[in-house]
Amino acid sequence: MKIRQSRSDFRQRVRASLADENLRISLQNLGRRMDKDRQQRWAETQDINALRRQAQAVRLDGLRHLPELLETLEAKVLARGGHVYWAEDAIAANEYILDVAHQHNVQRIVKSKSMTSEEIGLNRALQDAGLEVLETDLGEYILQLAGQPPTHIVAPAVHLRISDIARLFHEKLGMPETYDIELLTAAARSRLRRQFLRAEMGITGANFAVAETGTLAMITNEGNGRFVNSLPPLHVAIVGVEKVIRSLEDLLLLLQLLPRSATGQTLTSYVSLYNGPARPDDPDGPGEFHLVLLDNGRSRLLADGYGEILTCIRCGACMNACPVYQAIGGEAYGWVYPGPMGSVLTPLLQTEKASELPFASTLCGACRDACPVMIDLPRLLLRLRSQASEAQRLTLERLGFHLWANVATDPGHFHRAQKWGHIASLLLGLGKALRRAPWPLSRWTQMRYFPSVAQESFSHYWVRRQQNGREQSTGNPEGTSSEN
Amino acid sequence: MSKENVLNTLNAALAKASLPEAKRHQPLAVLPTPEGSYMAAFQQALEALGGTSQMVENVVAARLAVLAILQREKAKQVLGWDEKVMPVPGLQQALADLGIIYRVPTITSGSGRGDISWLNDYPVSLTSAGVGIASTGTLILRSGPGRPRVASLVAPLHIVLLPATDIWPTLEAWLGFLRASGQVVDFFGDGVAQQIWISGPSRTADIELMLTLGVHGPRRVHVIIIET
Ligand code: SF4
Repeated sequence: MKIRQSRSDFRQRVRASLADENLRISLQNLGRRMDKDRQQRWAETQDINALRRQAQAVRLDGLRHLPELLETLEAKVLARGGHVYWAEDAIAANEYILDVAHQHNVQRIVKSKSMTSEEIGLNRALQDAGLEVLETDLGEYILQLAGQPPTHIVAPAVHLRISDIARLFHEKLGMPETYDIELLTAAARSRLRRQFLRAEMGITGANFAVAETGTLAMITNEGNGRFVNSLPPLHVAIVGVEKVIRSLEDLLLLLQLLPRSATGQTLTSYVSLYNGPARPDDPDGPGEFHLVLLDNGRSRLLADGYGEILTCIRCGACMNACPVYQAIGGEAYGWVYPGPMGSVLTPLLQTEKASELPFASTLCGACRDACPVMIDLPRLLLRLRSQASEAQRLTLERLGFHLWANVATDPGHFHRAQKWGHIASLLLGLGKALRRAPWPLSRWTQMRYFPSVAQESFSHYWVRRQQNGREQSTGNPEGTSSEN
Repeated sequence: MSKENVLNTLNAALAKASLPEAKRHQPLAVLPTPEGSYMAAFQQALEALGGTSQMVENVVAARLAVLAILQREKAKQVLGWDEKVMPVPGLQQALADLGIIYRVPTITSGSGRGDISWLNDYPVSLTSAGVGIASTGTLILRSGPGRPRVASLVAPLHIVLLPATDIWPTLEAWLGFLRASGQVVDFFGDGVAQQIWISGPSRTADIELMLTLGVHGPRRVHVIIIET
C-alpha cells in the first residue's frame, strides 16, 4: 500500500479531522464504549497484571525463538498437505498469492479482515490483475463500498455514523435509506452470502500461529472468517512472522487477554483453529491451503532495537485509550496502523516518510497502561523521536536551544531577554497568548497558542513582593493558602 | 530461496535485537474455575452471550427435545452431522417419521461442485459438540468425517447436543486433561483440519458500536445438555 504521508499532509489531515463534527461524535462514542469495556473487564479479571506479565513473556519468548518456531510451524503445515511460502516483502507476498489465484483460474475472492493484507496492499494487487476481491467483515465491507481505508484495527469503520452508512447502502445497494441496523446488517448479510457461495478462493489472516501443532488461530465475532475458510475450495492465510507462538498453553493465555482488551469480551463468538487443507475424507472445507509467512520489514525493525513492538497482539486498546487518537481519529495517521502502535509501526515499516507520527503523542502513558502485553509505547516513541531529530542536526530548533543555553546561563543576558521578550510579544500579538506568530514561531502556533511573555518577570515580581512584605508586615504572601 | 533469505535475515536481526527482559512464569496464570455445577455455569455463561440451553435427562429426552424444537420452528428440512458421530441415536429415523428432511451436506472441493446455494434453504442445523467450556459458554466442534463445517454455520438456528460429562470448567482445564491423557492429537492432530470454538450467536458492533446478532453465522444457538 502506498503511504499517504508527508509533513504537510499529516497536518492537513489532522486539521480536517478536528473540524469533522461527525468524526468527533464517533470518536467520543469509541472512548466511552471500547475503552470503558476493556477497563471494566480488566477490573473484573483476577490478577490481570500477572496475566499481562505472562503474556508479555510469552510473546517475547516467541520472538527470541522466531526462526526455530517458524520452522516447526512450517513442518507441521507441510505434513498436513499445506503449502508454505516465505515472503520477504509485500511484493513477494502479493506476487505469490496472485500466482496461486492464476494457477486455479480464480475470478472471485472473498476475504476476512486482515490488517496484514492491508499492510501489503493485497486487494489492490489482486484487483489490478482483474480479480474480484470482496471484504466480508461488515465494517470492511462498508469501507470497501465507500472506497475508504480502515481507521481502527478492530473496529475498522468506527469513524462512520449510521447516517453515513444508510446513505451509502442506499446509493450503492439501491435499498431504501434506513437507520434500522437490523435491516442494514441483513442487506449486507444476504449480499455477502451469495458471494461466499460463489467464491473460488478465500483469504484470511490469523491472530496467532501455534508452532507446536501447526495451528493457526483466528478470532472473529461475525462468522465471516468461518465462511472464508470453509466454503471456497482454496484457502490462503497471510501471517506476519511475529505471530508465531510456542504452544497451545501460550495460545490460551493470549486468548484470555486479546478479546478482553479489544472488545471487552471474555472470548469472541468464534475462535477458528485450522491447520492445512481439508483431509481427504472430510465432507467439506478447502482442498488446498497456502500459508504465507511475511517479513516485510519486521526483521529490520527487530535489528534496529524496536523488536518490542512485534509483540503487539493487535487488540486496539492503545488507540482506544489514546487522547490523540480520540481527537484526530485513525485516518489522520495516514496508514493501516493508527494510534500509538501505528505511530511506532508506520515509520518503522514504511521507513523515512512518516517521521512526524512519533511526535503526534503527548507521551501520557495511557497506551502503555492499556496494552495487554505491556509494550512500552512511550519509550519506543521517544526513541523514534530522538532518531528523527538526530537525522536533522543543525536545524533551527538546535540553533534556538543553543541561544537559549547562552542566555539562560548568564543572569545579565537573562534579564535583558525577559524585558525584550515582553516588548516583542506586545509588538507581535498584544493578547494574552499568541495565536499566530511570524515564522519561525509560526510552526508552533499552527497547532497551539504561544503564551505571551508576562509584563513583569517572576524574579522582578519576587523581589518586589519581598520588599512590599517587609514594608507592610503582612504575614501571608499570596499563593499559599490561609485555609486549614 | 525465499525461506533461507527470510530465516537468515531473522537470525541476523535477532543477534542484534535488544528485547526487554521478561521471564516466563510456570505455571501460567489461569482464571478461576466457576463455582458449583459446571452445567449451571455453562448455561449461565451461554445465556449471557445471547444463547439458550436446556437440560435433559437422557438421550431419549434429547431426541424428543430436538423434535419439539423443529416442530415449533415448523422446520421442513434440517442440515446436520451424521447420526453416527452424534450422542443421540435414532434421530434420522425420528425426523423422517415426521416428514422432515435431514441432510448431511457434502461439498466437494474440486471442480464440479456446482451451485451450492441450496445451503441457504435450511432454517435449522443440528450438530453435537465434543466439548463444552463452562467459564465462557463455549462449544468445541471438530471437522472430520460425518462432521461438515457448514452444518454449524449456514442456518439461522443452530441446535447443539452436548453430553454433560464433556463440560469442562475452563479451556485451561480441558487442555490440561488432553495433555495428561495424551489426547491432544484428537483435537490438534493430523485428523482434524479445522476446529471451531463457538461462544454464543454470531454478532457484530461494526455500525456505531451497536450490537447486532446473526450477521453471518447463526443468530440463535440452542444447546441441549444431556445429563447421562
Ligand atoms: S500495542 Fe498493545 S494495546 Fe496497542 S494494539 Fe498492540 S497489543 Fe494492543
